[in-house]
Amino acid sequence: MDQVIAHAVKEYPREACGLLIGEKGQKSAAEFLPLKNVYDEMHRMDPATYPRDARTAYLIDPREQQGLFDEAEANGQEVKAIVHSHTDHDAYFSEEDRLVAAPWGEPMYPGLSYIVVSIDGGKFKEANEYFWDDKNKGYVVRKKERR
Amino acid sequence: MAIKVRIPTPLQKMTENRAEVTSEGTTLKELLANLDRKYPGLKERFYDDKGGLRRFINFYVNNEDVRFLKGESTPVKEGDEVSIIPAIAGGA
Repeated sequence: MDQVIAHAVKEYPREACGLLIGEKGQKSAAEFLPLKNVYDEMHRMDPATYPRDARTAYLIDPREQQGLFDEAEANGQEVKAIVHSHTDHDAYFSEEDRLVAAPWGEPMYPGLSYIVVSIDGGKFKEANEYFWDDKNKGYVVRKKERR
Repeated sequence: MAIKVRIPTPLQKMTENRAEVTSEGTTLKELLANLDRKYPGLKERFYDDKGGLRRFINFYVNNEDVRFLKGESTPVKEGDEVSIIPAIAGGA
């Protein structure tokens, strides 16, 4: 978690993002892979589809993402969690986060959790981990961290 | 003419668990319509309520985002590879 926080602080005031990747089928510690938030680039090229900027939005380059998922699979690994930060906002799972994570009422990436880290004024405030709850068909918070 | 289409994990249950399938067409729109005929239900995953391609599903033809080509009208031909990649995105 220290690496995640360090990356999110470094990226402030832009939202940071990355993936946690670990051995397939194991709950052991996963490695954090920081990734570039390409939202601003996409906003410049297509502001209608990407109306925000990187202070309130993140986007992982889809080709990079596909490559990393393929690479993990080839190495007997898997993506365990998708990480992003909210800057000067709490670590809630926003409407936008939920919409992208489950656009038609079921998870886009089943089995993965979403970790949201709040960086307030450049400092770590809190982190929450959200899991898909199949019974209630929505994401619920299961793990919280405060410092 | 067969065009290779990469199907993302969450949609593979609709393509008999295949990660890669083939489809036909001269544009992305035709290719997706033919794919839906072969694997019914996919269309609802590709298009939003207004009939446009979903904002958070990315379509690539040979590594090019169709948003920066001709969108649904992007031409496709034999030997091309189409990738469907659900976005990882969001924000406060």
